[in-house]
Amino acid sequence: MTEKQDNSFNNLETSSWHYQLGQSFKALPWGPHRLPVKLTLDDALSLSLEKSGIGYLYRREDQSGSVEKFIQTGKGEIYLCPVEPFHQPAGISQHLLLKFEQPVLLEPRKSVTIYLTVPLEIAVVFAGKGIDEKVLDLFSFLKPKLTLYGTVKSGLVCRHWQSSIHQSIPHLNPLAEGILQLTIKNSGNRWAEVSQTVFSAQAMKIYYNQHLVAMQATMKINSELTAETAFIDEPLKTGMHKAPEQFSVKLLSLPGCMVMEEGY
Amino acid sequence: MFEWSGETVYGTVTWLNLLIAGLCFFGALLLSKLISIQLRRSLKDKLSNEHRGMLIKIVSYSIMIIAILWIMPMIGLEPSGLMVAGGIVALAIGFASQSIIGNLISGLFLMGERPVKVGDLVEIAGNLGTVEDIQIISTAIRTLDGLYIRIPNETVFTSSITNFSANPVRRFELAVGISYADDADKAIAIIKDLAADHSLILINPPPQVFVDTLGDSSVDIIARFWSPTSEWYSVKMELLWQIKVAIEAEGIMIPFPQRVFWSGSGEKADLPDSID
Repeated sequence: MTEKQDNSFNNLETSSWHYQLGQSFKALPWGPHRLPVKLTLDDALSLSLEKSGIGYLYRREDQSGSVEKFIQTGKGEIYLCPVEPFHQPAGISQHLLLKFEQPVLLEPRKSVTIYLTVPLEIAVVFAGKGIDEKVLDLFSFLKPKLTLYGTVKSGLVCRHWQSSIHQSIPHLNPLAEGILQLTIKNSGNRWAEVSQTVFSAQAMKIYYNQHLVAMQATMKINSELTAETAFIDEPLKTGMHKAPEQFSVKLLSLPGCMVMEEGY
Repeated sequence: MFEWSGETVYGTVTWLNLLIAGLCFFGALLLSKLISIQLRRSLKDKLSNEHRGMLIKIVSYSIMIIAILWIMPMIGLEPSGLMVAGGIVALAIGFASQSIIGNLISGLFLMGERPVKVGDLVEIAGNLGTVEDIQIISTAIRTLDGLYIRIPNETVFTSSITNFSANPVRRFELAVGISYADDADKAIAIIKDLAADHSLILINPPPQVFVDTLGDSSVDIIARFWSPTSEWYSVKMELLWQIKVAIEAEGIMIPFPQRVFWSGSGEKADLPDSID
């Protein structure tokens, strides 16, 4: 991904950036960005926050349409950050089902660490002096799909994502996908064949820097049908920033770990 | 100093009796409040609002009734006398309020069984709507066209209930007829692609799209999709038209009902003159 000055937004009062995916990149556009600002991401999405009368007009445009919001505020800045992929479609799912393209066979009482890709959404956050931060918008470069984990009677509607298994951090589209370092531990006395894992949104701990979005998790296999998954609240690399959590464990009083009772 | 406490107020009841009775009453009131607060806190995540409120009321009223029965002898009232009188009154009230008692007991059973909860889309006794409130005597639902209906719990309990929100997902079905001259496999592939592209159609359970019948005017394709229960109807409304547009864009015809009359070559048919 390259970062370059975009001539189409040549405006003395507006700083603008152009990020092209699929190329080697200097830095991701997380910010902070002083206002007014215009960003074009991957030639597919543009967003701007520009002076409009006594406030600012936020505008995001992509293939699916445009979003506009008028913001009445004084001075401030915006930053972008990766967030949990559960806002689209809104309010439907708070679980992520990661389907492995190749199953992992694990002998009894052994553990393995693998790397998977996970879908991301991006939050546009307004930060002003002396006031709470406000999420202006949430968007994603990926089309969400849903699936059911468990039975029709008592299953969980999950955000679906399929990932290959990698033994090191793979190349990926860092605006759309993050890296999950997953340690699978087989606590049982039998071989375990793992082809999927489920995580709760309430526990997702996303860290990011200017080149990578990453998280760490564990999956403990308890028996032939049950496993327990949890995120680790630590950065994969030193110097990574923690993304603000959109689903708080304390707020919703929900458990941070996820117990998979319908197989893995 | 407290000689006044031994003075009788009426009958054998002294001031001291009245004081103790008053203290017991306020003590019971305080106890019932404390237990209510504790129950409200401890059951916050375990019971729904309405069930928690009902349980708290039952517990606090029970404490107060027991306290009053305990206090009555202190102030010169015998509960046994009241019970005789109360029994007669209860008999009369019982006959007069059979349906209320029936509704009340049904309400208790409904709270135990919990076939519906507030916010569910249900059909009860032919009424389709969203459950607004479940009380001990009746259940209120709001129909899809905004009407408020109060259904006695006895009716709810004895009727068959369809709860459309009981499961997290549900299946819906769309039927599409294409012309006999067109390729059904191509139409099926188009419908499957549309389903794969739609965010709210589940990957698992997988969609089913197949030729169901060879109809009078068309080859009838059935498409079955699973969707989150809260979203299925909007998906259904949206998808049928998308299928129609996508199929026709690929040159596949959705025929009108039609009947072909064939008059033959005009020769007289070789029919028997009569049937024995």
